[in-house]
Amino acid sequence: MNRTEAFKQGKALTPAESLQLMKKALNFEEWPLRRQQFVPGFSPRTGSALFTKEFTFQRERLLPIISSWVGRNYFYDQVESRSAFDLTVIVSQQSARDAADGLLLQMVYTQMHSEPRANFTNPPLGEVTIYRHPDTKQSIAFVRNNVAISIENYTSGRKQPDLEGIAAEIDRGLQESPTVSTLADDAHVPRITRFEPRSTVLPPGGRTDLEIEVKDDYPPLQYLFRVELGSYNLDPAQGGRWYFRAGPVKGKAELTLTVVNQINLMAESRCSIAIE
Amino acid sequence: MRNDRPENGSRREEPACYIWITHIKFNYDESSLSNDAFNIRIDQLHDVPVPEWDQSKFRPEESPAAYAIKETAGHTVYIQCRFEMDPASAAATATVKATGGGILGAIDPITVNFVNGVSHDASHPGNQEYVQIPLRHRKFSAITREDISWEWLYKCPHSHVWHPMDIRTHHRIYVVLEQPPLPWSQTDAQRYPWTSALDYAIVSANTRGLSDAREAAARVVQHVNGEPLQYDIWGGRPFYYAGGFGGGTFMIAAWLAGFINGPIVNCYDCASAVTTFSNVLGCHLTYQFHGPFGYLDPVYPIGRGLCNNPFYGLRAAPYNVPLVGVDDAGRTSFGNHAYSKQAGNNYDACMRGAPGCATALAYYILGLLILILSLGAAATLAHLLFMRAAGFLVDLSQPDYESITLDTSTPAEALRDGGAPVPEALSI
Repeated sequence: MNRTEAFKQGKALTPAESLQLMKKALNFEEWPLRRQQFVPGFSPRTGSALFTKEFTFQRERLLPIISSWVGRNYFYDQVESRSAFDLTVIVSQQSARDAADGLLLQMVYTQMHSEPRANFTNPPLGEVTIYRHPDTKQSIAFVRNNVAISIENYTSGRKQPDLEGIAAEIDRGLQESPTVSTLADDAHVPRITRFEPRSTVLPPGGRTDLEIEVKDDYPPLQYLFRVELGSYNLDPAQGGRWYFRAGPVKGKAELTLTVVNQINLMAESRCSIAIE
Repeated sequence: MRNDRPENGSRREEPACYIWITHIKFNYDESSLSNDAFNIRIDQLHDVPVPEWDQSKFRPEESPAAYAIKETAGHTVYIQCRFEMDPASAAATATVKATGGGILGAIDPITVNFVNGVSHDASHPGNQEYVQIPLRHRKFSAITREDISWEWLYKCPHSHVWHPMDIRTHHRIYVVLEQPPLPWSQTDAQRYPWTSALDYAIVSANTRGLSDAREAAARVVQHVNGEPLQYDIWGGRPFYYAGGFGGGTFMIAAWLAGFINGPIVNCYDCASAVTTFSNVLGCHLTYQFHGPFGYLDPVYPIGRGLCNNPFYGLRAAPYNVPLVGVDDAGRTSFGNHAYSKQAGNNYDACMRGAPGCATALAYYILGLLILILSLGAAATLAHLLFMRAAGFLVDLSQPDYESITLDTSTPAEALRDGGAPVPEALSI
């Protein structure tokens, strides 16, 4: 049942169901995605792509880490022509399919009714090119190795950005990038060389500084934490030092630190603190 | 220099001792919120250490505390204070009180025992250097944020003269309807309610003085809808919400930081903002995903003009305008939609209805009649009617909501409809 059929049958769809339907409609399982050919990171902010000279970078936002891919949106515009686009980059360190999964998830979470189509037999871009709309001036997406790209038109003037041209330039850059069979030990990936609490035992409500050292050649780094039985905090009085504050419940607090560098590669490290 | 001016015209005399306050705990029991303040944070990266006040804090915002009306109702609320006395003796008994206090009220005289110059209270299970003091004059009746101050006074052992401690403590007190539900938490310290979210929901959204969850949520809808934001007419994508597997995340920090993700939003952004900011006040909204949704009746998407063709941003003529012919099946539609529900009724800040003059007038007249006949007792209902007259989608039943927003008047339009709202998990 595709989404049109779902509409016809009057079925309520959750985002998860919509994702499954979209995958089925786009023959996701048949996509010829490459294995073990990893592009070691990508960001439009590094390099010298032509579109970055024509358009002004305005802002970026890092998507929450919910899987083994890093997703980030970049917004570019030309003030005088009111031409603009939003570029989504998804880099997976696990597999191309993982990146493609992340791309489709972004497509599901949009409000405009659309029936996307995928070209994976003779794709003009990447291993798979995805068109969300019949009009390629509105949006275009593709998956190349472990990197998924989506470009959405946000123009409010008459001059339209050449989305296909921008996508092609990005794709050429990805094709020219050296690939590696695994990103596990790649030099482009940030390395958390130290992540440990100053005190491994805390009373409820107690505080301990977190010792963090990261080696990375692609700053700035984003620090993302997941903690249990307490909270992570930043102490502005101590030059931005991170610390853990124990909650009221005793137990073993697990802390996970994820760092993401500018080329959308991440590293993760864990430690624990006993709350007694 | 210490001011020894006595109260009530009693004669000026040098005090036999000096007593001063060193710390105050409002949230002395993190596992309860019936007898003390509840757990809060400043924002994503900054916690509120307990004790909330010490001698290094001079501004009210440096000493925040939050209380829940429902959970504290019928209970005595306490604070815990630590005092020191000079000269220190092995054991002494003095009296302490505080004037002022605003919503927390003045503090009645209380006997304080001192051991080696430090206060001592064995009546509670916490740190016994802290004296548990009842707030017998606190007044929690409506949502508020109030900066309060206490002027502390003491009487030395065997003295009948009150002396000021020469210290006025300043605190920022938040009062909400009840324990903030999801996405907030009282057990996950990272998701304790943020004071920055409370500031937004109470001060910015102007919910101060409200005691009804429907009206509080409606004010949040009104405020979010009035933010300098515009609906994404190009594709309806979120900029402050990220969908995940089995739920989504509201990027509340980016929202509160002045919309640093830009001025374009969609319904997921608005629904997650309304849910999050209403719930920090103790409302009970849930985020609802409604797909398929369908064609729109003429409505006002946030920051836009009257519209029944929401994705006109990149469409070719004649569909490159927001409003096209009624029932024109060539116009764009919502593949899905998101809004919030509370007690079965809908709240949506992503758009406003276009009720028309007759309907708006009827709402106004009905509201006025309710106000007059109830002598103001049913003000909440009247206020909600006034807001509906202005097109705000607040406290509407599902059929009423759909009758305002959804166009299913032709078979083609009815075909595009057919979904139903489903609650989706929301986190921050």
